[in-house]
Amino acid sequence: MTPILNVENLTRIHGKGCERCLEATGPEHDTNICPHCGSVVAVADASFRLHRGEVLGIMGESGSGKSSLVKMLYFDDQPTSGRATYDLDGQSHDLFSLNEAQQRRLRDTAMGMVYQNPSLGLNFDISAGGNIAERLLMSDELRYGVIREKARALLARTEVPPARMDELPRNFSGGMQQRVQIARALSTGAPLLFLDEVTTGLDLSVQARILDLIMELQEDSGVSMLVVTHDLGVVRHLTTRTIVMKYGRIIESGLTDQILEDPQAAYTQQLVSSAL
Amino acid sequence: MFPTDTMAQGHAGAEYGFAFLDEDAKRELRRTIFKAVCIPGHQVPYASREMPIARGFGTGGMQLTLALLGPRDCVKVIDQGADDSVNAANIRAFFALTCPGVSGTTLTEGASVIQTRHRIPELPLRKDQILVFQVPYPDPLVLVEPNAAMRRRMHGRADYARLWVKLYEDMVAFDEITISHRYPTRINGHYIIDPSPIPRYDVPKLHQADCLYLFGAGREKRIYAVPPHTDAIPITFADVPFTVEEFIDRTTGKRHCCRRCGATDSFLDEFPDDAGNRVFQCSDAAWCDSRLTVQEAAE
Amino acid sequence: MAYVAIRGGEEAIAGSARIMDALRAMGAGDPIELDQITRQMPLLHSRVLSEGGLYHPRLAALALKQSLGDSLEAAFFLRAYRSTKPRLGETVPHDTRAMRVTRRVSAAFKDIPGGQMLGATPDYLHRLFRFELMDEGAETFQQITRDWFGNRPAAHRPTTFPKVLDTLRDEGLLPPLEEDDTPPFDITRTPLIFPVPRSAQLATMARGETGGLLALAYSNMRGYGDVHPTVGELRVGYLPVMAPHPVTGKPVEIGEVQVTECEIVAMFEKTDEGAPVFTLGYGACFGHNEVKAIAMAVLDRAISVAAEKGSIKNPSEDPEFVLLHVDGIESMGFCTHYKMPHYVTFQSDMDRLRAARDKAEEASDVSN
Repeated sequence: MTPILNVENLTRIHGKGCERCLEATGPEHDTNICPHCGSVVAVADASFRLHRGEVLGIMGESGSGKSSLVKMLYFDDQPTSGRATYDLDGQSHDLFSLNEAQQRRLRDTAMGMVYQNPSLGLNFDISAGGNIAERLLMSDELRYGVIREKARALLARTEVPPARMDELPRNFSGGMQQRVQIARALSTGAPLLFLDEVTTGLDLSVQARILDLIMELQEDSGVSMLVVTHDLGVVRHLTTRTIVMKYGRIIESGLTDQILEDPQAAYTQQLVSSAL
Repeated sequence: MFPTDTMAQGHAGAEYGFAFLDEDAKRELRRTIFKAVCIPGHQVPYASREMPIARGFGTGGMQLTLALLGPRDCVKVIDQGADDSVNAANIRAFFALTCPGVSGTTLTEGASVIQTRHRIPELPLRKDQILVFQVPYPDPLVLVEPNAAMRRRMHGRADYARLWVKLYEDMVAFDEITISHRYPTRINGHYIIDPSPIPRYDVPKLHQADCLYLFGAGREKRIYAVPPHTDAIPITFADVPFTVEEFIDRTTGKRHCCRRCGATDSFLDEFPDDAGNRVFQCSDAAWCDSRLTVQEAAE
Repeated sequence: MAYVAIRGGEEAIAGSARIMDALRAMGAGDPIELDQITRQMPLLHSRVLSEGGLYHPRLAALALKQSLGDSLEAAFFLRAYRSTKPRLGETVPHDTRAMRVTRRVSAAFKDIPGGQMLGATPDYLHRLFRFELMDEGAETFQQITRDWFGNRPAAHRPTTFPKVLDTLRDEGLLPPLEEDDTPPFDITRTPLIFPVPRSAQLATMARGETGGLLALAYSNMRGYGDVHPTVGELRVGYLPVMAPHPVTGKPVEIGEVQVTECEIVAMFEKTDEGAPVFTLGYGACFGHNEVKAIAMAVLDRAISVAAEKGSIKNPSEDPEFVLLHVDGIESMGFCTHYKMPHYVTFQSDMDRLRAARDKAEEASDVSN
């Protein structure tokens, strides 16, 4: 079976870049800044596959390139080189060869994103329901009644009280804002979801409830997820397979249990043991 | 600030050429008009010369009209539907001064070019007529996006969801779409235009019309067009119909009628008379006058 | 609803024109002469020349006279007049080192090559009324003129000067001048579609409204921005205008224009290549208008800083915000237009408000 997402040699260099950027950076050089030209190598040669219905974790410290990777796949940023294909209903989309309108369309209808910072994923000046309506409108749902019903149902599903659907998310708690973001991301029934540090900064009890919610939603819908986190708890809770990144490189990947129980790379061992 | 009588007596004839603008400027305007007609609803940028009438008073419309007028044309100018309101009178005086040979009229059916602010005439326009709108804000997306560069990209990919979200928020707050005028209207299935501050009552006249509609924004330096026989659909929800001003008398439940000609099918101006009563009168003065003429002939 | 009552707008306009004419004539003594405007109010006259964007001193004086002294309206006359004129040719690029300088100061150095020259400035005059000016006669002017020419030492000073910034550039403290033969962006023939090149930015501000430029630049100086300028050189003078000869194509002098030019030096920046250097802001306009030239230079720097850093933090750094709002003719026109009748749109507003109120009443009836 073809993977839903196939990422090949994805690279992102901030700055003007030079021929030696890749060979002079990475874990073995203990830096992601090219000593020759000063450019920052955010992601280098990253390749992986995400299978249908799978939850794949991307783990690493801040600056490891894990968020940069997801930003490119969601078209928030452009790669320097590399390729990614998205298999949607049997049709393969070469993500970075699409034009801007095609990318927007794909992103609006067939991808969902939940950011760590809710202000990136939500418009705080329109109501919680309006934020969900926007996604539905982008996918050409123009019936007001249907939009209202769907928004109400999605918010109920993500445990936001329907009574608050016409309020501005600005006035919500952090956990509630994340629930609205999740509802928005789910609204078009997209088969692919990106979660970027979704529980970071929330209270522990709120974190646990949001993780449970994501688990349930995943089991209900079978949506494929890419979960970016520095938190071993999130990886353990949600993912079946995990990628470990450092200085823009993928240094280890495998089944999550295996990586947590028997990490191979020294860096992963350090990560795992420091969390215990 | 523009003493029309002193200008007429002064050097205007000697110093200024036909239709005021230099010929290069008129050529640029005509090229821009062609482009606007070819891409219905697309805001085409142009240089926009300064007119001797202030920005905001219809300089965009004036430049279009000046580029269109030839000696055989007959021009009509209206503001708020009327030919003799100050701004219309002033612009017509300017055309009379700078376009020798061009005739003027107040009859809708007699004009080849009609320049208007805020109204479309009640009488349907023919295929040999052009209606030129004065436009203060050419871009409907300015409601949701202040950055002009971003707005251009949004228009390019027909990314208008945020305009609909505005309608959604309106429905949530008021159970009504509260946009009263400048109603966003989708042209030929792609671009959404600001149809200038015409009332909603006039918006359906843009759809599949016989005439050419040209829109000129002088200060914002944009020209756009709704060509004849082109779709022009006000944006709304599938289950929330677009409505126009109704002029229903809330005491009787019937529509108000014009106090002059008795029309019950025209856009009305509402105002208090000296006794403090609210009275209603056709906004389109030429329409009202022609109805009166017919009635008098019948008596 | 007085507007509704104005049927017969043409008569009203004609009447208004007569009042305007009467206002400037009645009890006003002799008509003011254009030379009196040019000579006795040169700074007001300068403002009109620069904001009008057309160097025609005599018409600028007529514009002030005809607009009853309103500088925005007067500049507007020049702009509208310009719309009727074809373009005959283009001058060559000018080096302001060739200026016949009447005033130059640098705040960066105590002394500068060629010397500081205070010239005509109100900067150090006490703003105390000289009440005797209330009653001046022609003989007073004659006396002042005689004294000025009588006591004037023989011309021993040069009239052209090197640029103060050349010294800094020679030392490498300023980035070297780059030759750039790109034709400048012509804002009178091309609309501003952002992003626009720096030449469009400078041209727009050069005919911008003094007060608008000042307000935005001041916001940057006060803390909504961080340009922190030093006036490297401010000069006022007359610049010979060189245009290609129609036959030979060689530049020949066709006249001169009064120009104010300001170069500000701002804090240094790290560069991609080599050592850090100071940064520059440039302002120039027709006539003698120092506040405008300085404000323009500050805004030029502010916009460039934001472009280099790739992030806009303040309104004065946003090219769209600055360039689309500093034009006096456009902003004044749009402000004025609100005085025109808007009763069709107001009718639509009332319709929507009534409908929304009906819905609100229905809703409260249901809930009661």
